[in-house]
Amino acid sequence: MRVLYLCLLILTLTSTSASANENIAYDKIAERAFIHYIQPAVKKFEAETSVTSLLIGALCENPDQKGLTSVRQQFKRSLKAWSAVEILRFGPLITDNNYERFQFYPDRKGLALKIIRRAFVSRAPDLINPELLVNKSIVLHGFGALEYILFGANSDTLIRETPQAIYRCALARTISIIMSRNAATLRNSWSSKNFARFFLNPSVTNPIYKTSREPVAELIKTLTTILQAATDQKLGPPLGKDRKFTRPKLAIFYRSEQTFKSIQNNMKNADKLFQSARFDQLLDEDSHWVSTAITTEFANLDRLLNKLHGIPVQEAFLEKKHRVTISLIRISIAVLYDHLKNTYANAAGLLVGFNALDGD
Amino acid sequence: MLPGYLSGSMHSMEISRRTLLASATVSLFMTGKCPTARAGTVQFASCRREVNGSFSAVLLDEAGQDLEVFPLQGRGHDVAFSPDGRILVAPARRPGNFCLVASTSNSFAPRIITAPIGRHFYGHGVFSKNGHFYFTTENDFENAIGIIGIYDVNRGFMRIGEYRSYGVGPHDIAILPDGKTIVVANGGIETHPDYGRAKLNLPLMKPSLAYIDVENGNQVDLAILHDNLHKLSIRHLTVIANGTVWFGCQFQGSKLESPALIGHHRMGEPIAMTHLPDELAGQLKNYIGSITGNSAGDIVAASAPRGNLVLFWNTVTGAYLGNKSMKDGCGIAATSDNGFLLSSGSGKIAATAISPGSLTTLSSRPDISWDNHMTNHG
Repeated sequence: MRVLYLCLLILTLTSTSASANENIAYDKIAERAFIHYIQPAVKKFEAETSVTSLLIGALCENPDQKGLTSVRQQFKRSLKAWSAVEILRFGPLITDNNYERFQFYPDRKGLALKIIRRAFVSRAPDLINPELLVNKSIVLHGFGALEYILFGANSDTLIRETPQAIYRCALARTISIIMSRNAATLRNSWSSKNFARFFLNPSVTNPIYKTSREPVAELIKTLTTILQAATDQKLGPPLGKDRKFTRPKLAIFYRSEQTFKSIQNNMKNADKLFQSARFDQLLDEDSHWVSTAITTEFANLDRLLNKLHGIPVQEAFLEKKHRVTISLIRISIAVLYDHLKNTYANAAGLLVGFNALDGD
Repeated sequence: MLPGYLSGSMHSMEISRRTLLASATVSLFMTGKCPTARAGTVQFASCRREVNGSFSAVLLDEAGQDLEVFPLQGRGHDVAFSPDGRILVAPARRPGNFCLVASTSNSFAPRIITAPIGRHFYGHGVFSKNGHFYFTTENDFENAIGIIGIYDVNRGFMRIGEYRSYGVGPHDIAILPDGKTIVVANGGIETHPDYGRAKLNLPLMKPSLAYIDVENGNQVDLAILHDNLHKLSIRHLTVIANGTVWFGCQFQGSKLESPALIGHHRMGEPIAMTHLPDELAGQLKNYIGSITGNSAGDIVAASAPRGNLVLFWNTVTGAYLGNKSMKDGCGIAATSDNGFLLSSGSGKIAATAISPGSLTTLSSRPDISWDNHMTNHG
């Protein structure tokens, strides 16, 4: 009997230890993702939006071509920083409609354009006051609205001192102030006192993450979400099923010619998150190839997106040669999606339930 | 005519009282063609993913064994039986546009009906009380309007018109015991097939329970959740004998919040949400996958597949009764002994003998996945 107890004790200790080790492996992924990717990304985004707001303020004070050029360049830098944050579609970014505040896309009905044009006509004073605009439509709180003001029709008039131009610049400044404040809030929401407390400490008493696997499953889900968004929302609708159905003006950030650049940055950042968190550490020797396949496919995707550098959106979505490239990009994304959602998730013990998908 | 809606390409209809209530001409699809097939047996149906990754709709017996397997061209969702149990219909999961119509007694070959251009299915449908019409939730995706498609069973499931669902993103649908009122869960989420399964209007969601006159499509009642719950998408529902609608929701807000996900409603009254013990609320992961009443109507079961739980309520007192653990458990159907048959995405079918009593595994095939819903007839 004593031998039996001893065997049971050893068995229990061994399995507890194995389970604890397994939990540590998952916890480390979340920790590395937080330290090496999430924290720097939200910090950089806060900094870039702050600079954008300062430069737009300066342009409004002294409108000239140099200032406008500088603002437009800074907008692109802000957008680049956003491309890193955009892929973190969980926690703070999806709280209080934060994602839609920064990026109201897809905007199938052209709501942003309608509201901005109406603002230009009305020149309503409450829209150029950040304390008041913050309570207005979220369509006026993000990149889409700012892009139209800085790059859309008649945006070159921003260097003039007409009442229309002055109002246009003031609206840009107000939006940029809101974006900068929201970016600061986002960074703070990710602090170790706030959401990171839950993300890094899964437990049965944690209101969001009960087990060590759940934060890692969240990261896989966010990676697959950005892949799905790139192909289903950003590339598919403007491409159309054939040339007859091409609608380049549905493309994200086409006015600033950042459509493909922003998608490429999303993909680069997804790869960076995957590598910096060391997702490969969850794979055993037999399934390690999955991690290599994912990294290789990200590289292939980057190579394909490089081919669209400098190609105007109209041309890219209309010309056969480029349409082929875009289709190849979508195939590459589909391969990555399958690798992550099925092969990797299965090998790493993170498979999502068949009946747990959104919208069913 | 249907007031205020039916212009342009929209097809309207008014189902006459005579058509609705009287018996109709016997057709290929109607009763009488094959009177004895599986008569007297209780049948169940559910969609599933097969070992090879293909999809099908399956007719089952009470022991969870296959009776018939009908291949599908894509993933299904729910299955509806005709009132006489001879026809089963399985519309595609969103945003699919195919719908299987099959005989449970081999009296006609399975056939596929297709959603019209500009529409797709949401995976749910229901027969009129006399079995002459089939109503299914559809999306008019260009205009982001919820639609109830109307199909004439006697005319080979020809689509003869449509009603508004009085909301966006209609999902589950049922008929009240009076046979005169359709109730539909408008989830409130706008989607468009060009954008995959992306949710396009989360900040502006407005879910509702809409009650619609079967005969003319008029709105009879519209129950809306309080503004602070506008992200609580009403997805699934079940109607018990006294006409009370029990419904299950999926919350699209912050994961730090755990609002009540199960509610009940009677026409003309305010919505009532149920209470769960605090320690359970967070475990459901803000997601209810299916809800069904037992045959006596005194107990309702709701599944939370993300939380791996099936929960039970007393419909008379509204009291929470308890729960059972089932990994990725989602499909629920009432059994003849007043209990429930449960199915899971990990291939299991189990029964609760006396709800919410013990869970008995009837079959387990980890290589297949049962889809979200299970339906019974008999």
